[in-house]
Amino acid sequence: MAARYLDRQLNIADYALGGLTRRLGKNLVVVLVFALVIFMVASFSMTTTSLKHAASQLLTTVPDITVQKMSAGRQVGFSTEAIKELEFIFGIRSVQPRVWGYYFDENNGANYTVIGVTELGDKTQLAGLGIDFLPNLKTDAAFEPAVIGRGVRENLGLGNRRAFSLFRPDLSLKSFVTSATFDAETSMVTDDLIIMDLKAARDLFGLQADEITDLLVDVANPLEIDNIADNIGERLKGVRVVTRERIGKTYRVAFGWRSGFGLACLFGAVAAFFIFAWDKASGLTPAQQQEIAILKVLGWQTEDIITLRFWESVIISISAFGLGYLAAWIHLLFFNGLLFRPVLLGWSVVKPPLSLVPVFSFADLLIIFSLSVLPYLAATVIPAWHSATIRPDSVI
Amino acid sequence: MILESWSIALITCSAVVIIFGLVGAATSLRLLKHWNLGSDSELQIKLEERIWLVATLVQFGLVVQIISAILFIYAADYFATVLKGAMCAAGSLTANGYGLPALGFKLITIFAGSLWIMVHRLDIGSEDFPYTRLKSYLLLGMLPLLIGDGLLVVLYLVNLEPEIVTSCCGIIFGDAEAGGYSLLNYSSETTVVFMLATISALILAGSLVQLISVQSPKRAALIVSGALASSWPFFYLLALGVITVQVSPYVYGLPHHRCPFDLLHYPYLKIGLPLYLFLHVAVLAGLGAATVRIISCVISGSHHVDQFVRRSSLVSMSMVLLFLLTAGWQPFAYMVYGGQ
Repeated sequence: MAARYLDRQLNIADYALGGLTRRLGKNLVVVLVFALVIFMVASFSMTTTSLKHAASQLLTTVPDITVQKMSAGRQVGFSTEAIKELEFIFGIRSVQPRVWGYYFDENNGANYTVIGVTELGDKTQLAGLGIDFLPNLKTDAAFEPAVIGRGVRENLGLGNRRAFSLFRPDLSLKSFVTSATFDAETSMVTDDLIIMDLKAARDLFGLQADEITDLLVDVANPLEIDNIADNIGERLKGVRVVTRERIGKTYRVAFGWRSGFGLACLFGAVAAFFIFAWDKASGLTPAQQQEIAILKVLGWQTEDIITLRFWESVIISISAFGLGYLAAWIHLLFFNGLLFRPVLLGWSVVKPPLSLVPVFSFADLLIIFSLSVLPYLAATVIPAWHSATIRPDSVI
Repeated sequence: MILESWSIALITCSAVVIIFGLVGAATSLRLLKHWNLGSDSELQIKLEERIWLVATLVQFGLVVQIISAILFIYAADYFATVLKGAMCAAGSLTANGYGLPALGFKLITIFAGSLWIMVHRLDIGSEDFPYTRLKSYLLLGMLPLLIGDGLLVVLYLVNLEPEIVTSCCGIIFGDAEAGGYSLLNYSSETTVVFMLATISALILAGSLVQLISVQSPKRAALIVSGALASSWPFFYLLALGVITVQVSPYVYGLPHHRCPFDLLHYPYLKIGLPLYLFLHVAVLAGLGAATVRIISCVISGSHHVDQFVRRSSLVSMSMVLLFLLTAGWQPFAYMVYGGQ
């Protein structure tokens, strides 16, 4: 019984394919326009997945817990004395002070992120960020070593030079020498980054001798991160305690929201296409009406004609789906999600030259399918029934 | 979190199903008002053509609703990565009061749509369309469920905030006495298994009676099939409970990991997929056989009822056995071989 049913379906699908190739030009236009709609939806969905993937990979470099001092709802600097308060919390592996700030470059209007750390030479401090250390790391006492991002190097117009200077708040110059540059792979977070010694950062920003902006806490047992974060919040008054898990969730929410917003903006175009599909499926040419009439005279039932129409829609939508999905993949892989990246990633003067890698996910496929193929098939259901109820005597 | 691609996809599916439901209901109302098989008027011929429209809408709507249910579970899994405390779909579905009811409505409409199609196949197999009026009433009854499903999905998504603190499946489906809170609120794990074993035995016996006494008098058939039709929902709910509290910890190899949703992810899918497939096919076939038998006692006309009841009863019985074997395999293997 199942074999007979399958055989019948295959025969109808075969006939549908033959019918579609007979009207190749018209159907090709529908496939191409539909593929464009699927391309837009798929690009949004896939770019978001790639960004989430890139963000989660880079989050491995973020400390378990970050502690910041807040005053009047804004972040302020605080003393390294706070480290002593944390020494007695069981489970903390290490606490590192940090200076984190933004340097505005008036020459080109770019903002650089400046981070001052305690042990710049120690690779473990910056583990995971893929730094290409330059050879012969010998520095003059007047030049502070700094690790810079590729975007900073380009914006400063360094070329092959290694030395550069930045202004202190009193407009005196502080000189640096590039000791290393960040890997291109990590440019999503390191493109606008300058990492230097803690003291050099304090000097650059004109901070007090023991002033820092945040504390980085490393926890031995990952399961205890939330408990230790609560404990820190109780011991240090007026601080904000941020865990890595929380940052990851914020990234996912932000990308998810932007992707949804983008899709909502595309809604008009998508809806217009489905109205077009409905209209096209409703308006049968005299030749098509005659074909249905002949099939009915030959013994085809209403249900068979509806199945035939259904198979035609399936063939069109699956072809368009394949084309659109492939185009979205190419757009992401070779053109780096050029069209939709600004919407999802935001914009700034130092743009991260992020290389997006397409990630295959069944969830993405399901979303794209439900937003494109299902509404298309739905739009053609009622016209399919309508065409199946044509009476042979009224046409032939 | 209404502005998420998951949410937009879910709302699109619900919108398609509701529109189909509305068109189907409007057609059903016309059918109920003007249906007269004895007449050969233009209106009657048009109404007969409209039977195909309703059938196509229900069939396609059912496919969309099944995809929508899968989408809903995957979306809940995604939301778990954003909500605080949630570790899988169980946590995000209980993050507000609309998640589980929305899933319930989806499952009920899938069962109702499938039963409608079974009745429809029998209806169009007969010359005088005996169940057309019944089908129209059924469809009108399904419309509020479809609208309710759409509303619940929207309410769930609107009220889902990333800042909500929710629980993980180990707590939600845990022992109420030990954890203090349990969604299932069962008194003992062994009691649930015992209840499922009992109801399975009763259902198998009932189906066997239904199978061998197809030609039995109406009254006897009504009693047997009525008892079966009311037992299948209990069997379904108990089976879901047993999968959650008894089977899933053995599949995951973790005593406190009680989750019916993680079974749908690799590598647990190789047990989860057959488990859910056997269960749903068993309940659908069983419920279909019993319902059709009851309908045929009230409205006679179709000649294919006996054959349908025989086939469906056989399918449901074999599927129940396969389900029980699949469900029992992992705990059995643990007891015999021990450990992983």
